[in-house]
Amino acid sequence: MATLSANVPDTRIFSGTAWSWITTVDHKRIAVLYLVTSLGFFLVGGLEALLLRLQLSRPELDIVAPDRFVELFTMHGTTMVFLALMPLSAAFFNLLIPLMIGARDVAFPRLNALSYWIYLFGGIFINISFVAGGAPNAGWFGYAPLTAVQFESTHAIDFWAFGLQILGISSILASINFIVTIINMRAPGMTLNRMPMFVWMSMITAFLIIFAFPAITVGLILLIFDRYLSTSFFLPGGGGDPILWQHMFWVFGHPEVYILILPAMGIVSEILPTFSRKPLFGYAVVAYSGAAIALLGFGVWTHHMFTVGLGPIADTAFAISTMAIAVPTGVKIFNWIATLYGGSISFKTPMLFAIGMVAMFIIGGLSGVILGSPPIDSQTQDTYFVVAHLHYVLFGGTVFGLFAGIYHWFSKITGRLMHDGWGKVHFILMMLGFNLTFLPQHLLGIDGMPRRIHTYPSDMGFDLWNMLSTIGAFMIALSIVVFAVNALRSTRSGEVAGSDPWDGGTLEWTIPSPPPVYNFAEIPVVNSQYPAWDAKRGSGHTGADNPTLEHDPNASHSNIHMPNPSYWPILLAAGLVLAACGLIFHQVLILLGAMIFGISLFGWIEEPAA
Amino acid sequence: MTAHGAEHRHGYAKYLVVAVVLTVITIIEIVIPSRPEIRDALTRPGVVASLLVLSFVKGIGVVAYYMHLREDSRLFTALFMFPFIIASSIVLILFFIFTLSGA
Amino acid sequence: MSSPSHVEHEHHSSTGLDNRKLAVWAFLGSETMFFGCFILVMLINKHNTLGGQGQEILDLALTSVTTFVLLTSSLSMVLSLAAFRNGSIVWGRIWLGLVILMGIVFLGGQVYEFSEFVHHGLTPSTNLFGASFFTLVGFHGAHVAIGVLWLTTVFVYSYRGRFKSGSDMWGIEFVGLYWHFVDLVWVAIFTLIYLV
Repeated sequence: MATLSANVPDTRIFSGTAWSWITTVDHKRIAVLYLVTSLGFFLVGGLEALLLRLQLSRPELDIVAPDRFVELFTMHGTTMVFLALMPLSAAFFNLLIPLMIGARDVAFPRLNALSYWIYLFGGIFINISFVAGGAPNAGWFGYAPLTAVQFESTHAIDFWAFGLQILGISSILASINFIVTIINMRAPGMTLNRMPMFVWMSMITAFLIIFAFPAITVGLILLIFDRYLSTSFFLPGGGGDPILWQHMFWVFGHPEVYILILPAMGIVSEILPTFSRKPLFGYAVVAYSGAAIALLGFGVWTHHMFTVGLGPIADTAFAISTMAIAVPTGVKIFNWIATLYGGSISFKTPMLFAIGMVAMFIIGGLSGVILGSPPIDSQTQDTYFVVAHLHYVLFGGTVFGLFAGIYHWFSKITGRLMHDGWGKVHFILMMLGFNLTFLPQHLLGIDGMPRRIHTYPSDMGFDLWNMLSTIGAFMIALSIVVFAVNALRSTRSGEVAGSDPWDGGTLEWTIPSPPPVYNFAEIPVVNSQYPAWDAKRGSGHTGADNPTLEHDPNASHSNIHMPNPSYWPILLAAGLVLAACGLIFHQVLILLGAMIFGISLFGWIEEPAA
Repeated sequence: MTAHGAEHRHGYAKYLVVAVVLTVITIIEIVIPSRPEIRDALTRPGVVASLLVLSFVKGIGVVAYYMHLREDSRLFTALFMFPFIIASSIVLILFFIFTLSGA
Repeated sequence: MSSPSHVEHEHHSSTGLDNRKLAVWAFLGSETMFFGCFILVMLINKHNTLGGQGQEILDLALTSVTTFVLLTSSLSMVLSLAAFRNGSIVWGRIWLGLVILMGIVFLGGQVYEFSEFVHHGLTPSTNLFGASFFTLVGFHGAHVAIGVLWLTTVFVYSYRGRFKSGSDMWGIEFVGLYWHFVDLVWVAIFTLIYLV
């Protein structure tokens, strides 16, 4: 491998004018946009968390007033779920799906760009609320009737409701794009059973998104009608039922948590084999378990409502389905462990985060099974036990998995490796900090400390665990600083990676880092689940820059035509969000936004497709 | 799509047949709850069941023939049936939770 | 909607199916859940009539007429697609124009129905029956309206030289799929709300 030659990577991916970024339809650049934006929002959500933990570090503190506190935990949850974790997954979908299946781009490149711009503008829209009358303050789940107009007459809830609708549109459009891409644009020879596991999980996630989001779309519409058209869908005074909101929210909300974890599971399913130097154990079983989790995920939502009083039949039925979903999840974990067993393990940073993800997710999964028992849940519902559970699966699971992915594929985007030594520092600090933050919260929950309270008295026995939890939170923050400095410096002066620094098995490692705009000079023909390993076998253990892959003889390699950039996606997105602003600020904006939307729509249709 | 005159004259007829069937079914559906003698003969559960079955058949007619699902790849059928089953199940479950619990 | 390769023979499809057709069906799957949720809310609130009227306000005669109109428009739609595929652009446009006309008639019927209800004292804020009804049927009507706009666009485009060759019928086929789906939802609504 020619690392000693002065192979400076072609970092044109980061250059280019602002206009080229605004009009890009290249999935790799859109991935970078998603990555940077989502990490930015991750910092915002993290800041919100630090403020929360600061306020809770000692009993009866007054650093953050109760009204602000409510806004903070609402926005922390909303930001992390919708503006940080989902888009971070989207960054990986964008970067990896075409590369892993041997395609040149996604099925609908302009639609892809549109999804990003809608996300960016939607994220800004929700956060404007902080300076426009108050941020959303009814929790990330917005239970009725707290969200009713008589209890919250400012626009705080409207920012939340409209904002989520906007983000939902972004996600649904992107998911349709990825579904079509994965089903229809795989390289010759790549059957569904030869796709990388990350692509499998991405496809399942995309289906989850398009089938689960409509439930919250409808719920939010009904909420908005309650607030502005004097309907009473969720208001008992008019004959409505607040429980209906809970059902609608969690019919979406439970599949949403699988939307959050499956991509990270896909990432781990790629990293573990790479750094064990053996294939994923039980490929088919892992794929089908993912599908089973998705399917069952639609049948467990009421376990978020065990204490609502639905009665023993409903509680029992959903307790059973909740326990059942632990089975395919456990199966995946066993398969990951079996992948490691007998492998030649290399403990690079991506591997550390991947193994850390599996370990933390096991803990989170176990506390989840515990919560799946209605009698236990009646004690732990709305306590810190639930907070501990959700952070073990979403931080320990998703965030660790996503960081593993960042360290693993950083070089594919930038051409340079992140510094592995500092990566390990990040990992150790984050591992320690994370567990220090959330392990004590199990005890806090069992001891009875409720969620969403802005302070607590000093004689409840909560003091020590809260203090430790806050210290842990700041350790996490420190680890993020380490990561940020590492990422920024490595982009400019990290070790040049070449196309295949890890000796990976999948197609993305067969092309240069960063890839040329057309990805593959010739579309490869695939004969197994690990085409890159196949090609390299016998030709050296380090990844050659041009492993001999079979190529499709029918593919024309003289006239690679890539789609043209376009400014319609950003304009369309702007029109949409402007109209939403109009609903809150001034009605004339609705008209303006609709006009921009309409013009952009026809401009888009008139523009030649490719 | 190659244009075969004979094939598409055949196609026109097929759609007209489907249209007539759908119309007849709709007429039957309207008559059932409108005529007291039929309503009482079937009793309430019978009315509901027959209407559901009839409209389900109508739905199949629209999806299979008008939307060409019958002639197209099975993938499209799966893409449609899957969310239909999920949605129907969730509607049924919630319908029973709300009506049986008297909430 | 663009595909990444302009050159037909270079565009490789793993399934032999058209990207945009897959996208439309995926979208319709999503819409199935969407309308399913509205229908659920309607079913739950069908007898929640405190403060106003309920099912008795529904005019079965009027709605039967509009239902037939929508059903017939679906026939006209599929005949339009067949005609275009057959090369009969004139007949394709005629059937398409009829779909648009019938869509407008349907919408007219809905507007009339809504205004009659309001006139008789049933609004979205009167009771839960009213709220659920206006929401469900209103969103369905909005989908019909968007469909009419889409159909009109396709109709105008048929005069601009599109839809000449076999592979270019996608525009007609996709609006057709959307239109039939909207009709399908109405089949469910008509049965579950007006008949049952």
